[in-house]
Amino acid sequence: MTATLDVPYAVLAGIKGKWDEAADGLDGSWRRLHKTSTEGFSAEVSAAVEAFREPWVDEIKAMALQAQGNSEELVFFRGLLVLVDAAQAERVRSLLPWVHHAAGIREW
Amino acid sequence: MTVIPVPPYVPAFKEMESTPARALTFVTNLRAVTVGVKDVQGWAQGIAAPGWEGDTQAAHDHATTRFAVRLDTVEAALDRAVTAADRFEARLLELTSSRGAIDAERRSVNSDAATLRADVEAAGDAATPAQIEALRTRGERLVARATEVTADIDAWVVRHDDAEADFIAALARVDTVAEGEVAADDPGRVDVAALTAALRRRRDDPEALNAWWASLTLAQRQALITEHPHLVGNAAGIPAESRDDANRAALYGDLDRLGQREQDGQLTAAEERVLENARHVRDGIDRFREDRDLDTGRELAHLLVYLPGAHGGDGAVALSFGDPDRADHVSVNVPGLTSEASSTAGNLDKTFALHQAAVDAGNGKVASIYWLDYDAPSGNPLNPFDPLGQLDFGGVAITAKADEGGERFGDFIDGLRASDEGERAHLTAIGHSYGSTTVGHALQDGLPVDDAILIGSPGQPEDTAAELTGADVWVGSKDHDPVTLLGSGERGGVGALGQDPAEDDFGGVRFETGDGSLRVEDLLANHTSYFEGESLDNMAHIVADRDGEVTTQPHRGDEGGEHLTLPELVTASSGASAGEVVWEHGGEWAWERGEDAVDIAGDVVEWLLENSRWGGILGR
Repeated sequence: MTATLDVPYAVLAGIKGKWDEAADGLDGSWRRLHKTSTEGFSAEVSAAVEAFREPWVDEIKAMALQAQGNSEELVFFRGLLVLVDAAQAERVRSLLPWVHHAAGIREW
Repeated sequence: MTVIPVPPYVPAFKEMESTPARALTFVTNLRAVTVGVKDVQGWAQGIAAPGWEGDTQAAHDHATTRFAVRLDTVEAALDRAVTAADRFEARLLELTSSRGAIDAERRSVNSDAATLRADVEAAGDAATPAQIEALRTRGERLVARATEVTADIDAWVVRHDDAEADFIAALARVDTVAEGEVAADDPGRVDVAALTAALRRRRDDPEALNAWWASLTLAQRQALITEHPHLVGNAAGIPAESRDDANRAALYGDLDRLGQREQDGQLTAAEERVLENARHVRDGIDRFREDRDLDTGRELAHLLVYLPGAHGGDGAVALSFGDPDRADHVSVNVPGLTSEASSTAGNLDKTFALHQAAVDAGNGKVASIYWLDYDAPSGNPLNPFDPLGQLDFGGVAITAKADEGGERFGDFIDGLRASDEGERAHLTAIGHSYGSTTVGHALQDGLPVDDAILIGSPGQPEDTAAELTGADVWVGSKDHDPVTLLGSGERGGVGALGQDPAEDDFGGVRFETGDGSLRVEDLLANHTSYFEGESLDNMAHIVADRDGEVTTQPHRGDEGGEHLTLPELVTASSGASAGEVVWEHGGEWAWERGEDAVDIAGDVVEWLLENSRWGGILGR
């Protein structure tokens, strides 16, 4: 069983690139935050900076991975978006701009 | 028995462990992180369910909307942390400054107390009543000073501990994702969209923008800086310190994002150029990282313009040594041919040399700016081996770029005037080579500067300094700099870019630069060496408003101002070089180039004389 999504190809291809860019942007951000040194701060301030930094490094990193996963969800084969089933079509549809949130899904 | 009061020793007090430099680095990094997150969040929000609404269930099922909402939580937490870190840095700067003053007074009190004790012992029982009275008076004054400095120390320690405690508490309020969600839902959260609209409305009015910016809270400013770093960083009228914060955030954000895309092999050609320019700017800043502004304690370098993709990919950058808003004397140096972001390092060296010389002039605070935010011609027309030299020098393009650049330069200067604090700064515009023509066009449009320095100028758009501007016009022009012979004058010069400002009829003050070497292989060096020696010293005196110390040389057309025309120069210099090469074959230039030296010199001359563009200019 395969499925198709009633959305222009250009939109699908474009959104994949955008999720890639989002992943790269967030990757750069969490890496910089992770590398932020606490040297030159008092022990108390260093502890506070570390306590602040770690959860947000984790969160941004998780979102970078999610963005990358979203990009990888959009797999193209010979110029066509290949969707395994309706469930995957729904997932992909939810990664598109809101204007396409009601795009038709057809199973074959 | 008479008692002479002597204060007890005032002990040393708490050292600062947290430094402003460290805090600045931290907040700069944090801003860059925030810029990266906001970039992605802004994109996701733009394609999410509008206003997080729509059909609630449908919106919830929409993964992109959930992504945007989740990232908004990160953004809210980072906004809070940036504001807290910025405030912390400012407080540490104040604490560092005040600690220095208090500690100096403490040492002085202790030293004076030791002297008083010695004087009392020396006086002993034989002291006269008058001597005793004098000692007692000194003692009472010292006790008062010791009391005051002890109170200052106590107050300083409280301020110091408060600064750390406030920063720690602020971070602790957003150090979990749950707290980030609370921050995101805070009804008092900064409305960046409304602020952005307000900023855009004032963009063409630097004075109004500056006043509006001053009315914002710290949190509002920081939120705007990280939401729209390019907009804030390059807006005329925003204070230099905030522009620096914003542009550094944009710079490091670009390096992070594009560096990651480079690693992933996804850079487009345009992105590749932006990344390359960003790296040039970063390298330029990093070379001056250890240089501090003695008045503010911040880094000496301020990034006032950062547009790495501007001007067809050449990029735009302006960097100030010193804070122009607080300086008594501000100079802005506009470079010429072949200038782009990639040539930042060499141009910064020249500006820094001028800065140091102007500071050494000892007439107040100085800020020295390198400004490249116009589309300077990309090629070097004096280099026959540079194909780009052919491109930008045809037809109207030759003046159009200077004219457009002059308008942008005028906007930048208007911004400096608007953000200037205290007494109006003494402002000097400096244009080198084609940059002098650009400055000339800005002057023609009423550039509000006090002095203008035109060095290595190929021409000015008016025949006289008086027609050009009401500012004092200074001209640095080496007779063996071929570019300076292009302007129209009594002995020729085609004047494609206008009047030679070194001519007597122009009416500027020609300061001493020397003539430069006559050897053909030095002609380009003559054109690029104004930021050295006597020429540099004279420019520093002008910048520091020490006009009386400027040394002059005769104008072209005046007695003693005899000079070669450009055809005469290239012919004479060719002969001089050929002679030297023949007779001094072991000389440095020939040594480096071997037997090609004579040929290269000949090529240069031939090219200058025969090339279609310059041949036309030279009338050959």
